[in-house]
Amino acid sequence: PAKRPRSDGVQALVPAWGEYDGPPPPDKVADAYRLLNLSLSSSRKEVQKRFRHLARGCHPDKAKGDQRVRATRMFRQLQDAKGLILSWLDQRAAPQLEESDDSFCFDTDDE
Amino acid sequence: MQPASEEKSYAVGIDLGTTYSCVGVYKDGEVQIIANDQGNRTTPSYVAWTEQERLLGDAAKNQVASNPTNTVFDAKRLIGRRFDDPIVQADLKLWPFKVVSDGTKDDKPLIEIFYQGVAKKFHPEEISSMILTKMKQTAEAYLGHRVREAVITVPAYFNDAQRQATKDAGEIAGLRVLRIVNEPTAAAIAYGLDKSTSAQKETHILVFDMGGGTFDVSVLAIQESVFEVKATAGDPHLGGEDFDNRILSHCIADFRRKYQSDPTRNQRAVRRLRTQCERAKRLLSTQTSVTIEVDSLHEGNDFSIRLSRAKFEELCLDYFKKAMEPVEQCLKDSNLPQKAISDIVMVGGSTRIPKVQELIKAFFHGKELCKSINPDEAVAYGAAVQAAIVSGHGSEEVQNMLLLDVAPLSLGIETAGGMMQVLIERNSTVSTSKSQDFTTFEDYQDHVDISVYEGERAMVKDNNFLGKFTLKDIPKSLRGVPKIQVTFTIDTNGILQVSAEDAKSNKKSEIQIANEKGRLTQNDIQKMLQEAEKYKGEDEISKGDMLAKEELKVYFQRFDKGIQDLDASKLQEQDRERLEKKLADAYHWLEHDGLKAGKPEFEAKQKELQAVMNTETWTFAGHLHSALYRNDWEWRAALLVCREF
Repeated sequence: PAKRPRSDGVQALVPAWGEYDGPPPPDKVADAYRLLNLSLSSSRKEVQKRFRHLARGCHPDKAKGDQRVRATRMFRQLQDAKGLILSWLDQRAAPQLEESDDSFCFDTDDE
Repeated sequence: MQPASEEKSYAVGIDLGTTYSCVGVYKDGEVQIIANDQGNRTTPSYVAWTEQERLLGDAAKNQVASNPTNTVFDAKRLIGRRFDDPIVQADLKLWPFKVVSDGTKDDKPLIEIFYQGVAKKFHPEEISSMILTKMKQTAEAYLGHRVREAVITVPAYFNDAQRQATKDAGEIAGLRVLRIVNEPTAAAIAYGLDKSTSAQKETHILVFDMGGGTFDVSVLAIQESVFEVKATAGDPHLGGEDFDNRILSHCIADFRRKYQSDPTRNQRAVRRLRTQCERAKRLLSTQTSVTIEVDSLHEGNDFSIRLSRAKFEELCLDYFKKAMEPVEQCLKDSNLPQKAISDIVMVGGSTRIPKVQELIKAFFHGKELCKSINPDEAVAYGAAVQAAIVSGHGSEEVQNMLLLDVAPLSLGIETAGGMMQVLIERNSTVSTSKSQDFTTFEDYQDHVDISVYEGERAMVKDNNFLGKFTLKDIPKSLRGVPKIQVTFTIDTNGILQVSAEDAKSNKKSEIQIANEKGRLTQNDIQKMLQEAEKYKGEDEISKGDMLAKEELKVYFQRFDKGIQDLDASKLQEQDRERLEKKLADAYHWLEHDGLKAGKPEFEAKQKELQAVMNTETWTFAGHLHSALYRNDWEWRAALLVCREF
């Protein structure tokens, strides 16, 4: 599939960049963003939340008997995608000390 | 059963505990924890063999002091382990029943008991299956339907072999095991149903699950009814029984000091004392001191000791402190600080111990603990919900829930130099699949051995060996050239499958670890299933025997009373003597031969007595008859009552 943004109004196949202005992600990570339908500016929390939301739809536990194999594959893809994004976020956050707090998947405003 | 039947079927949730088990079912939009035939909502995980029959649950535990060597418990501490496992070797010394090795290279432990004069050996899986059968029957009695499917829980820290063995136990009990669920995860569902968990906001909870024999800690993230386990840690051999043992040793030391005699060889004494120690431990959760008393414990000496809560805490403090390590580990693994945990859920009987509560509260800087769920029933409760989710029976609220559990231990293979190469990291969400490429170590190597291990250590020798297989016929080439892709797949039960494929020749080889290493083969399971069926028959036979015996006893009493009621005018002295002798003989027979007799013998005996009565003069029979029952109708009714008895 083409990975260049298209100008003719057809939905772009690259992830939306949102507020993100860093270096472009590797292809695999970009694919992961597209699979989860997230913009590059998404936070860890948003990634987790989207993953859980999508997992509920495609987890093998929720699938009918004959759909289970497909669901299992889908679920594993989602999981790998989440893993890729989170580790990329870790890498991105690593050199900048003020953002290193981001590697926790909680927020201080939780309480 | 006919497959086309529209019979309603239920899937139950079973918490198969070390010391107690519990069963629940999701029915009419809520979970019911089911009480057994004794009215108890938890059933002791005990199986016993007496001279006549097999006993399960409360009946087995109640007679343990009089029958220690034939009463089996703690099967969960043996399941999925090898006989030479140091933990098994240590436990052996504390058990009154005999455990032997099966003598094969797998070195499986077997439990040996004596039943009807013959030594019988059982796998721990079979003992567990008997307890599962009991739980199944409890549920069937309540539901009025057969139960064929179940979710069974295991400690989160159980390894692959232990999970497999538990699943096998379910199959031997005639249950289709829908899922093996981790206990703390099941407890989290119980907590989740209690609270509203459909919120958009992410919350984190910590489940502290300390039961009779095992200890687990899990951290979960809950969001939009999705329960995602972030990390789990624990000790598969730490729980209430260890505390009992400490009190027991303390008491035995005291007894020795007082009487200069050692009761440890006296199984019955130790068992009686242990029962009192367990009781004392429970009381110390609400009282500050308690007296342990056993009359005539050993060699006629009475035993009595005062135990304060402080002393109990001192005896077990190292255990309690040890329990805090997994809590720390779990938080570290899930990348969360203490303050991110919004609730600490306490599950399992041992969390009632004030010191345990105090330590965990202190660890979380005085945070209040969540005690809104029943610590004994939460796991079965959650398992019942998961059974409803997986079988698609629950309400909308339940159907919306999703459980994402993790693999508790890292999984990997042995590489050059005995190093562990991890493919699946611990705390990876299941189900998952991970691949990695490997190559040959020597020139022209035509096969590779793939040894699979679980554990966290760098060298495989320190980890737990799971299984081994060989990929053959690799096209010969220089070392480092072939590309061999190894794939690890874990299913939702946490059970592992490993495959290896040579990229060039497309040769493939794989194992389900499940079928290796000490695990029962499908054949073994079939055999045990038949055995269990036979037992079921045997149980029924012995029930029939009991009924016949009771009927005979009742007949004796009536007969006896009849003779006594007749005066000399109606029954001549010599006849009376003859009848009394006959009755005494029959009693004697019942007391001695009757122990081994079955239904046919009892019935024959009854006929014999009836025949004696009939050979007497018609008048006597008539008198006796009328003395016993006013009319024929009553006589028959009485017999009917006996039969139902």
